[in-house]
Amino acid sequence: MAGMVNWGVRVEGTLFVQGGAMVFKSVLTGALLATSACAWAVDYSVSGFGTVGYAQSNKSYAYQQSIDQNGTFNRDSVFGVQVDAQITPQWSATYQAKYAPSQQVDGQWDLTTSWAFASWRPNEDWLVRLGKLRVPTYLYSQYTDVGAVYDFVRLPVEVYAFTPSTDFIGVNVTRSWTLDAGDLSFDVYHGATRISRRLYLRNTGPRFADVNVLAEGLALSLKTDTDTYRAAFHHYRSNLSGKLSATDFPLQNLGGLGQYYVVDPQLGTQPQIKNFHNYLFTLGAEIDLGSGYRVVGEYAKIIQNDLKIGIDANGGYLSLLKQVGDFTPYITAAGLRSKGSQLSLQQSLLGASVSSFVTGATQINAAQQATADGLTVYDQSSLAIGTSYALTPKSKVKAEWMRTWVGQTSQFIDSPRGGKPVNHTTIDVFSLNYNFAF
Amino acid sequence: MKHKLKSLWLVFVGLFLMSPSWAGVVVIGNANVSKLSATLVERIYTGRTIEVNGVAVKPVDAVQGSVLRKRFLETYLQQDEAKYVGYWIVRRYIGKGAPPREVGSVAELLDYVQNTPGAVGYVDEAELRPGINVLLKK
Repeated sequence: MAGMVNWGVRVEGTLFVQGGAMVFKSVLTGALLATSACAWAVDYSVSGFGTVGYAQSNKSYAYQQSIDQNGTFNRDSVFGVQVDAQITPQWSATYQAKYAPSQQVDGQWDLTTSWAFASWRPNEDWLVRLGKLRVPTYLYSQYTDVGAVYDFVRLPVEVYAFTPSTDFIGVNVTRSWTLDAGDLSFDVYHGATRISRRLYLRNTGPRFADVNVLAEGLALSLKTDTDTYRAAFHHYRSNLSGKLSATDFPLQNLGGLGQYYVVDPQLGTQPQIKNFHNYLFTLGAEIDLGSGYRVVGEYAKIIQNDLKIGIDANGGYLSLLKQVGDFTPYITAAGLRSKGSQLSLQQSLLGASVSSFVTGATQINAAQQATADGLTVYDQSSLAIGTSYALTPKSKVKAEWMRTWVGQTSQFIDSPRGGKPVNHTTIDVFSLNYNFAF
Repeated sequence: MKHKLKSLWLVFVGLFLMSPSWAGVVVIGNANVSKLSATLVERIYTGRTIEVNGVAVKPVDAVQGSVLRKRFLETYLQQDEAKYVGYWIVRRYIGKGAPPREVGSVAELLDYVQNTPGAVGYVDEAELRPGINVLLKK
């Protein structure tokens, strides 16, 4: 039941966690062997972070997977530990493990390897990281789990939750320049990952689809004493674990007996491809306005050219913050909207049906509804008013009230089982967090 | 009344004389580290410079919250403790290094700097040892 924590614990991919630690040890050993013997002793440091986060909405159905009127700790809570090893001035290795609500099973917590990479910094202008790492997709991507360093209760889902992944196994190269205006850095990365994409269907509940993703991208960042600016471009090549993906759902018109979309190969011929491509453009800025005021904004556009049914949307948010002593109140407006043709398709699928006289009508009609539920489409905006309070330089307490306006649909909502899809409504969420780092 | 005022004045002067007299904070380094500019000191302590004239630098901090560290941050980095700690938490969790090592006492800091090639630290000028390499004084 939503709001109750199932204390069943999975060590997600136990082999993967062990593997992550093995990768770290291998990387460390390799770096030690690769570097010439010197008098430099390996410096280890251990750090950690955590969030105890509670969120409750005014609805009986779940929003963002776990928030409903019963309240939950499963949306925002996370705990992590990181080990950094400085092997030589140029070589280091990093390993981070995280304990957080599972991305593969609702209501369970997983222990996973967040990062396990080696860094090579030949001089202060270049940094090469190799292994499992997080890429700079958005302004706060690389430390979304460390709530102690930003003031929001939760980074806006309208931007942070609709991209495939920010964690990849691969390589990231950073080149930096020191300018009069500040530090300019250019990141280029290439990597691969496998994600579990959560879908919620009214007839079966949550389903997880494995997606293999190859990614590459580049990001340009300018950081001054007070401001940060970033622009990035990312390309993702994905497939459904080697299976074919439909590029479209052809419409079958049965005249007076109704019509249906070919959402499954068993219903007819549908065009298919193995790999599909997404392109993501992001812009972000954090600007100090003076007198304690700061403005933060980000915009993301994801484009899908191969699949008429794939995610293709615009998202963004704008936030105004003001530091008043140890308090930092803020107000954030955010929005996320899919391409018009995809919203239209979802509506059409919901309205598609065939007469009971048609053979297999029950299965055909159910398939239309399930496919409509599973389409990754969004039409929502939100307004959040909150504040953080810095207890110490490494810990914060935060509170927030957020209202979300749902238009036609939102993939962030688990519509009631057997009921109608949730649309044209508002959802209020109250959240309370305690964040720490050590 | 006159006697009371004189007593108060003496107490005040006594307290003033007993309070620690802070000299400036100076940046010090191991013998193999060359003189530094203010910009370089800032870049070393923010992890953006790792080498000076071919010498790999190892910065060291006083304990978080100490008066010495607070004065160093204000004088050389124009930051307060919260901003400095926050900066390094972010830097660590984006995989760009760990903050400078912290040492517990001034004596430990001086020992570390004198005995560790490439070490850079800071100390109150009044607590300098003879022979310590002063890299910068503001």
